[in-house]
Amino acid sequence: MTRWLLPGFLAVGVVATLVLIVGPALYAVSLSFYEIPSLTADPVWAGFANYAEVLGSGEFWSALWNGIVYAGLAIILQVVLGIGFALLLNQPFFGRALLRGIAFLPYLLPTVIAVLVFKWMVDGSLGIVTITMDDLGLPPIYWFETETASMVSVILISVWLWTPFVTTTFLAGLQTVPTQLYEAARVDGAGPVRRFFHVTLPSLRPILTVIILLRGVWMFNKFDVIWLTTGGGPLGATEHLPVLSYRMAFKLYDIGSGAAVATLSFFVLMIAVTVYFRVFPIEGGK
Amino acid sequence: MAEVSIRKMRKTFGKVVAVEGVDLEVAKGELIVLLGPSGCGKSTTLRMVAGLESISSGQLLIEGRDVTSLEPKDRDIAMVFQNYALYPHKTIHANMAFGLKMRGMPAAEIARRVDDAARMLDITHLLDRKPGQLSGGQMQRVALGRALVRDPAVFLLDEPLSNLDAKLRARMREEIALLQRRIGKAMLYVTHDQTEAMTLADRIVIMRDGKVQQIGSPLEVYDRPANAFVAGFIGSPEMNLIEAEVAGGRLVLSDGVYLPAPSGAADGPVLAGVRPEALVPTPGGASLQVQGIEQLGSQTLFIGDLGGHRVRSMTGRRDDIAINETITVAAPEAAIHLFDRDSGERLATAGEG
Repeated sequence: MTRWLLPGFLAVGVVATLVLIVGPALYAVSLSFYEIPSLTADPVWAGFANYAEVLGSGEFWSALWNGIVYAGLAIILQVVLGIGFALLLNQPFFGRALLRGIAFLPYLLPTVIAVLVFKWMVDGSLGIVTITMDDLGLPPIYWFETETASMVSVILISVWLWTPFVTTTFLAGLQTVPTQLYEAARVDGAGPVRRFFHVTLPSLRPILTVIILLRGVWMFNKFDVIWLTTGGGPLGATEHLPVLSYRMAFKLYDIGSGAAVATLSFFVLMIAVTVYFRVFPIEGGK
Repeated sequence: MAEVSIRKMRKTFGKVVAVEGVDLEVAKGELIVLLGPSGCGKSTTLRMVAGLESISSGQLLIEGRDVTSLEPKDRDIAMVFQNYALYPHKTIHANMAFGLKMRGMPAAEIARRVDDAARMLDITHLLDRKPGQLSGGQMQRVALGRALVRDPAVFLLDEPLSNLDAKLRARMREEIALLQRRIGKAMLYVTHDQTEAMTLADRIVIMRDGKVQQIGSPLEVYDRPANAFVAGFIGSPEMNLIEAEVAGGRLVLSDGVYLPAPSGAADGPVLAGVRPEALVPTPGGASLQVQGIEQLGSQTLFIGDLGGHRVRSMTGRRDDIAINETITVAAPEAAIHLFDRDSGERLATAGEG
């Protein structure tokens, strides 16, 4: 009985992975080598023509750049704010447990709801933010009107939604740092800032490495926030690779090129992750 | 001038009193052991001296300077923690140098001090390693080294040997004693192990429930325990404590079973204490029915019934007595301690003040 337990459990996972992830991924990659002008048209072999076309277009490169800006800034803010909140929530104060719970809430929101709420809050005539700013005599902000503002807005929404992930993970990590290390550092004469950089950060380096990696991959592939707010606009200012791929495949019905963009995006990410692991090895720590 | 003066130092957590008015003067070069069962307040006392725990009331002077409300780093102390508390991501060298670096000491001076301490502790070959690559004993040396390089007025050690195995503990104990004599600094050492206290201390501070029970040299607390608690805590095997009665100059354990009573002892019920090593098999003594025998090699411990009381008697090696045999034991008058049955306090007798 137990002899089959391990292979049995493994088989479930392997089959699920093959059917749900590897299969569709390979199918998508294969699509990128065909010319498919509509969802019903018969694919025509095109070799690397789609890739040549995509890489030759300015759209791909600006989408890649947008993606890097979006993911990069969102991660930096999420990590910095997340660690900050985690440190605050790790201090003893009245109502800490409640606040810890509340801090996690945004993470539980479906993206659609968060985006709709955000749009509503900054609505030009009814939004609470707009009205409050007006009451305070501040000039209005056009959240999704200019290129820079749109990018800032989608980043803000992403930070709002996913900082709790960093906070919670980091907070959990903080509980594992032995208090004696902090006490030793205090006796050694290290103040709060030095204790953070000499005790907390090195101790949580493995956790932080994983947090940044996960958030990085997720942000780079994040589709819904941008699609639901700006749709990639204005003037393609927030269009990153996932949106570009979607627009090519399902708006322009150039499924081959859309698949090519997705495949290239996959390779970019793979290279980035490989480099990341070289620079920040998770195990051993030198 | 005392190196450390602890004056009426108290610690309360809300309504709970963790440490009740400790008074202690520690001289330069003196090794003080704070001893007691867990929860007695010994570690809290040490942590208050370190500055890791605030002092609820009272005063703490180090080298004559009032440091009651100063940060640990400003107290001129160094501490060795129970779990070593070495920075896991730093090399041994960096671990030892950290405290000096934080104080802005020039690199050359840091290097010199670390090298000196490493040589003294025989850990020079470990300086480039990380704590994770070290054994428990080596980590303990590094933790000592980290304290040593600081050259503080007072060393504070919080159960430093409790994570080591018995053999290593005995060896490190000797080394700490040697080291302490060599550097001649004041040292406060917390432990629950009475053997450690007896072997290391210049003076032992025995605590219980946040209160100091007795302060004295190892032999003082061994020979003249201030109360029944100290009597039972100090010494191994434990002192026999027997509810008995003093009557007509004798200590009556039960009908017909007597031990001598110290001269001048008042008649009445007492708690009598006699150490196993003082209660030795003697012809013509009180009858002890042997129920258990522990052979320790050079010594033999009898566990048995003495007039209805379970007692232990220790003597030089004896392998001629079997379980259930009856032997006779006696103790010299001077080895009998008398305590008040209710308060546990030592009762004065003629031979004492």
